Amino acid sequence: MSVNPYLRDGCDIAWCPGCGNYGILKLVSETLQELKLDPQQTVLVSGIGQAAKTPQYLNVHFFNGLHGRALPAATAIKASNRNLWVIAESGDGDMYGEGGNHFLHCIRRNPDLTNIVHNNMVYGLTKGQASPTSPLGLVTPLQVNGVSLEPFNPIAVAIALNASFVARAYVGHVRWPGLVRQPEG
Amino acid sequence: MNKLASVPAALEMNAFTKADAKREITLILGGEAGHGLQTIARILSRMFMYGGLHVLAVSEFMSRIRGGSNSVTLRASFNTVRALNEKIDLSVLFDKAALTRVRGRCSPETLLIGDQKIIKDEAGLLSLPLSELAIQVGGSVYSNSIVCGYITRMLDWDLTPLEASLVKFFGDTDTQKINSDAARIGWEYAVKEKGRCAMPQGEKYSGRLLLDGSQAVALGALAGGCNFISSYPMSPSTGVLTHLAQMAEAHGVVVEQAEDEISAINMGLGSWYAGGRAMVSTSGGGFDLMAEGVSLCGAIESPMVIHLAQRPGPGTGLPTRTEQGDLDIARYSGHGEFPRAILAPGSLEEAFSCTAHAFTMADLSQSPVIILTDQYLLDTLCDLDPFELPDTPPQSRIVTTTEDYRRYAAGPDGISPRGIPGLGSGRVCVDSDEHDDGGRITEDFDVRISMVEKRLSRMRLLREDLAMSPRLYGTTDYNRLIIGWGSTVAAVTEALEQLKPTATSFLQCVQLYPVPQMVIDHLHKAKQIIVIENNATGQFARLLRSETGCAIFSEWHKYNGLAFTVDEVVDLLRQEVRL
Repeated sequence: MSVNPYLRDGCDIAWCPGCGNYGILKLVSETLQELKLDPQQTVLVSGIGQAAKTPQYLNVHFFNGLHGRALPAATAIKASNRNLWVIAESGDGDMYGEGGNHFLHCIRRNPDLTNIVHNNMVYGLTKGQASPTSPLGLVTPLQVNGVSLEPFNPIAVAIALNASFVARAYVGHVRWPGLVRQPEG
Repeated sequence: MNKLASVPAALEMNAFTKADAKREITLILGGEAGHGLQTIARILSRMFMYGGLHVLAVSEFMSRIRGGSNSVTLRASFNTVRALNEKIDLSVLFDKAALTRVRGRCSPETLLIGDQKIIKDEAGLLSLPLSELAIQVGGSVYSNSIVCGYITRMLDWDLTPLEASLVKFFGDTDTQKINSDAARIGWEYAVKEKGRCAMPQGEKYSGRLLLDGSQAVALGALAGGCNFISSYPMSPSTGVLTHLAQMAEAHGVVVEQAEDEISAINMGLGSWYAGGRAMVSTSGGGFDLMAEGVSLCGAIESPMVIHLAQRPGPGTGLPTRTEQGDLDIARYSGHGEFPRAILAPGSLEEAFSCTAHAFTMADLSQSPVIILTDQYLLDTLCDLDPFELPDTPPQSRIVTTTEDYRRYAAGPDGISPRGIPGLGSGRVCVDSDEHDDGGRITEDFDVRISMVEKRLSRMRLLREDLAMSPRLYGTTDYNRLIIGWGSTVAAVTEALEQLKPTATSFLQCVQLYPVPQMVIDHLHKAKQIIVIENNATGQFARLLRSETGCAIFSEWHKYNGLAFTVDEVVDLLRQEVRL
């Protein structure tokens, strides 16, 4: 297998062995390669968290901003230079918790960008607290009696807001062509 | 010194010329929201301007769309007027409540005008039966123009300047024609009051502008090359956003109403990153939400221009009133240590020049620059000379990257060449985490130290090369130095002109932070320093003390939600300086 030029060499990756983030990194880099996106015209925008470190490991431009605020920055990057391919990538706490409001309004704006959310249903970087997508009853060091909030359903919300392309997959499954890339036509 | 920051000729000339009471008039319009006070103020202001006078219109309104009790004060004069005095010559009352509200500002000489049916028994009221007269032209919507016509006759003016103003306001439309008819009805009705408030017209001049502070900030932004604004509506900052929206197509500005202020500033940073020149406009509460974005701006060394329009807090406070209460948050918002600059325009001319300069300053220093205005400045309408544009249009400092490009490479004054994605062959990587010179996350302590020092070393540019100079009014041979900033300027300068205290000068600080060396030099020369501020705790005095160690003799504060008037400053001078 040839080396993917979109992956950056020599990274000190901060994820645990076996973490699902590796699968997503592989999927994203392979999709970039498949689409032959010009790395000079591609910007990854992320927030803060384990998923938000993804741009560090890719050989494209990146804007690694604030927790929850990737989508506003990504929207403005696209609006300021429409020739750029803009991908906003972060975790569930970032996109649905801290940045939940931006998630809603970004779909309404439809600024022609791709939003990839690593949803592991828990906070990783801050060590194990509930995220907006944690299932009811999940016991954590903070939610000692289990999560009592209904989990946020991002797919239902995105579809209800008429997002132009919505897909979901389990990272443990083998590669799913077209997941990140919207099928033509 | 940047040419933009030069002194507007009109202000300079008139700063110490004698105000002639006989050659000026102050009138107040009082009524509910919805009575059209703003419309009358705009029309009359332009009429005064067309009549060769200088004019100032200050609005004072409640935070509601209809009802309440609001007023607009208009001061027209042969001299440049930029502050209000308390003396009212003429008061137009649209409801009974207005009388109660303006009574305190009326003297026995004040002429009161109103509909007898509404105001009822008020001795000496000049009755203007607005509702009856309005029926003749088509309804109460034309009352405003009737009032304008009535006032015109009291000034002993013909209708020419008013008609020109109506054409400007309504365009050459049927609406304008009906309003001109209404104005004539008011003018004819005032036959008995002809010349009651006689005032000659001035020398006609053309090409003057009639603008409010929000328009001046918006035009300054365009002059600074602004091509992106994202903001969330909040009084009194919204005017800048709407003015830019209205000019957006003609000037190529991307305008977005963000879902909140957090989004607004993160959009602004995204735009600068991708090659835009962005600004956000907000007020205290919204700026609080932006604080983390201000810090991000410091971390990624991005330029950013923030218009912070002050109103009284804390909390929601008085949304439509004025205060200078947000200097502290402008100075201290955002965690961590990084450079920033704060500019405080004291006039519409400076609202333009400071905003334009803020873009140059932000771009060259790769730092946030905050333009600190307030409700008084933004909602104040006045006539002014066309703005002086810089000789050259705003220069882009964006570099074309090469393959070995490193966004945070060491450079003079801590400035690294700023590339953008897609221009050149390098990767532009910016990170809110501590990063190495390539923008990648690092926790290397040596890199940390060098990055902290690099970021802070940009302060010199803001303090020296790019700084906006203070303006000294009065003698350079002073003992007593009164110091102010922003909207207090016009009231102080006019009060000093009236009293002419010996060895006393006024220093207007335009750049509040970092404190420019010229300000420090002035402080050192003074034997007695007085700081005047439209807040309760003396935020600028505190800043000056902490930055310079200067001793402050006295502080003058006002915090009822209104700006200082000339008369108030005169009283303060008399009491505290024992004149």
